[in-house]
Amino acid sequence: MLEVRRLIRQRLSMVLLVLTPLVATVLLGWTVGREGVVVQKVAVSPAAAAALEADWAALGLVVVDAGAPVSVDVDGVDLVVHQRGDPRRSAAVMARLEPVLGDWERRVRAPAWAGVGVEVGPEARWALAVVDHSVSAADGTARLVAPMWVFLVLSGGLYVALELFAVDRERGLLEALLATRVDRRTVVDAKTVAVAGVSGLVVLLSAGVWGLLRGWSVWTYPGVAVLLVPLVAQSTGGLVALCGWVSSSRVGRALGMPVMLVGAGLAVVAGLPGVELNAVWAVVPVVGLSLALEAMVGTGLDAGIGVWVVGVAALQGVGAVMGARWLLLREGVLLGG
Amino acid sequence: MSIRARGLRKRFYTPQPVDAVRRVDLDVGPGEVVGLLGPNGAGKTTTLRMLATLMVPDDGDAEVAGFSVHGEPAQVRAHIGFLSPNTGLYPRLTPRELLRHFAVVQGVDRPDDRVAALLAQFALEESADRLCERLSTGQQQRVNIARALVHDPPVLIFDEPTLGLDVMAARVVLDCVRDARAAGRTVLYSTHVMREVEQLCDRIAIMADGAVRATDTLAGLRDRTGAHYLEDVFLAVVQATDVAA
Repeated sequence: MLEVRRLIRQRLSMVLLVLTPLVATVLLGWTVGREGVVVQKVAVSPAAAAALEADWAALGLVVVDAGAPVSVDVDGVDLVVHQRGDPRRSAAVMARLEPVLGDWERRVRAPAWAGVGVEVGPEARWALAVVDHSVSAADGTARLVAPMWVFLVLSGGLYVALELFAVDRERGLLEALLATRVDRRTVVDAKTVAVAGVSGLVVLLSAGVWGLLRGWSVWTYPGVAVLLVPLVAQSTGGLVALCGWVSSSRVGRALGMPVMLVGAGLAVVAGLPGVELNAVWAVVPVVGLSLALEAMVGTGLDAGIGVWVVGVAALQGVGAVMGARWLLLREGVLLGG
Repeated sequence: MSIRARGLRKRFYTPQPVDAVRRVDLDVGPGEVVGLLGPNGAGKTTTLRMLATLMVPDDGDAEVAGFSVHGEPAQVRAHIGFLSPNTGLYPRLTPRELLRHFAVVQGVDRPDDRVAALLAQFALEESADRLCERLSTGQQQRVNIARALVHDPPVLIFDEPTLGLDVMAARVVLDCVRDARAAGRTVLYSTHVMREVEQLCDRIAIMADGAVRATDTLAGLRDRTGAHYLEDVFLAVVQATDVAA
C-alpha cells in the first residue's frame, strides 16, 4: 500500500499517467467514428450465410444478430451481417454477395411477396438488403486499439517500474527497506504488484472508455479484460526485470523506449496482411494477444483459439514475472554490486 | 558479543574478480561503540552490508545480536538499525507516514505511540506532517535516524552517516550515537572523520585492503604505533599494511 500511496502522491504524474491515455482514447475513438468508412448492414438469407460461411474472415463479415434490426416481413430473412472495412472493400464484398442475394431473391423473397400479391423486381432488392450505411468500422478500429493498448501497458508500467526500482535504488530507499525484517521477496513482490496494478488500471480504463465509445456488447468487456491481464503480466515481467537490473533511472529510460517500441511493433505485426489468429501466431508474445484483442473487439473471437491464446499468454506472463523475480533476487542485482 | 565476525570474505565480478573483503575478524561487545576506519576501497561498506545481511558473504560467518547472518538474516535485520549516506527518504511521504510505515514493517507494537515518541525525541513534531522533500537536510537526517531506531534495535550499524552533512546536521548524528551508548546500544560506526571517532568510540578498528589490520582503544593504538594523533595512527597502520602488501 505504501508503494501505491507514494505513487498517488505524485499527483501530476498520476494525472498524466491515467488521464492522458483516457483523453487519447476518447479523441481516437471520436476521430475514428467520424472517418469516411462506409459500413453496410446487409440482410441475407440462410442460404447466403451458408454459402459465405467459408469466406467470412476473408470478406470481413460477422454475424451480429439474427434478423432483429431488419423489419422485413418476408420469410427467410433471418440473418443480418455487418460488413467491415473501407468503401473499396465494401464494394468487393457486395459484388460477392450479389449473386447470392439474387438467388435468394428468386427462390425465397419474390415468391413470398407474390404470395401477398406484390411483384418485386431485382431493382428493389437493395432497398431491402442494404439497410444501414453508417454504423461502425470495427475491423479497422480493432487494428488501432490493440497497438494502443500494448503501448499504454508498456508506458504506464515503465514509469512505475522506474520509480519503484531504479529511482528507489538511486535514492537509497531500497536499501532502507531491505535493511528491515521484511523478506526481500516480499519487497520485490509488492513493487511488482504495484507496477502491474497501475499499468493494468490504465489500460483497463482505456478499454472501458473505448468500449463505451464503440458500443460494445456487455460480454466484450470481460473478454477484453481477460486478454489484457496476461498482456499486463508479460509487460510487467519485462519492465520489472529491466528497471530492477539497470544501474540508474537514466539508463532505464534509455532502454525502456526500445522495449516499448518493440512491444508496440509486435502489436503492429499483428495487423499486417497475412498474419491471422491461429495456433502458431498465438504463441508469439504480444502478437497472439493483439490478434485476439482485434478479433474480440472486431469480428468476434472463437472460443477455442481464445482459450489457447489466453492460456499460452498467461503462461508467458507468469514466466516473465517469475523470471524477473528470479533475476532481482540474485545477489547484487537489486542493490547493485 | 553483539557483533562477531570471523573470516568474512566477499568477491565482486566487475567483470574482473575483485576481492572487496579478503578476511574480516571483528568483535564488538554489548554497549560498545566501535569506530571502523579505512581508506576508500578498504572494504568497510561491504563489511557493514554483509553484517546488515544486505549482501551474502562468500565465506566466513558473522553473528549480530546473537543471530547468524547466514541462517537467520531476518532476525539480524530485526535487531539492527542501519544507516548509510545512501539511505534516503520517500520524498512524497511525511515523516509521520514514513516512520509509521517502517514501524509497521518492523513489527512494532502500537506504532502510532512509537512514532509520536520518536518525533518528540528528534524535535520533528512541527514538521511531522510536511512532505519529506520539503524538509531541511538536518531534518531529513533526523527522520532517517528515527527510521533506523523505530524498532528500538539493540545494535546500530552506521556507515558514514555524516557524509555530506553540515556541522549542525552532523551533530544530530553524533548526539544520536552518544544517546545510543547511554542507552546501552551497540554501535558500529564507519567514518572518514577522525575527530568523530575520537569523540565517540570506545575502540577503533582500522581496515585496509579488505581486512581488519588493527583493533584497539585509541590509547592502545597510540602505544602500538608510537603516534599521538589518530590521523597519524591511522596512516601508520594503513601504510604498514601497504608495505606488507
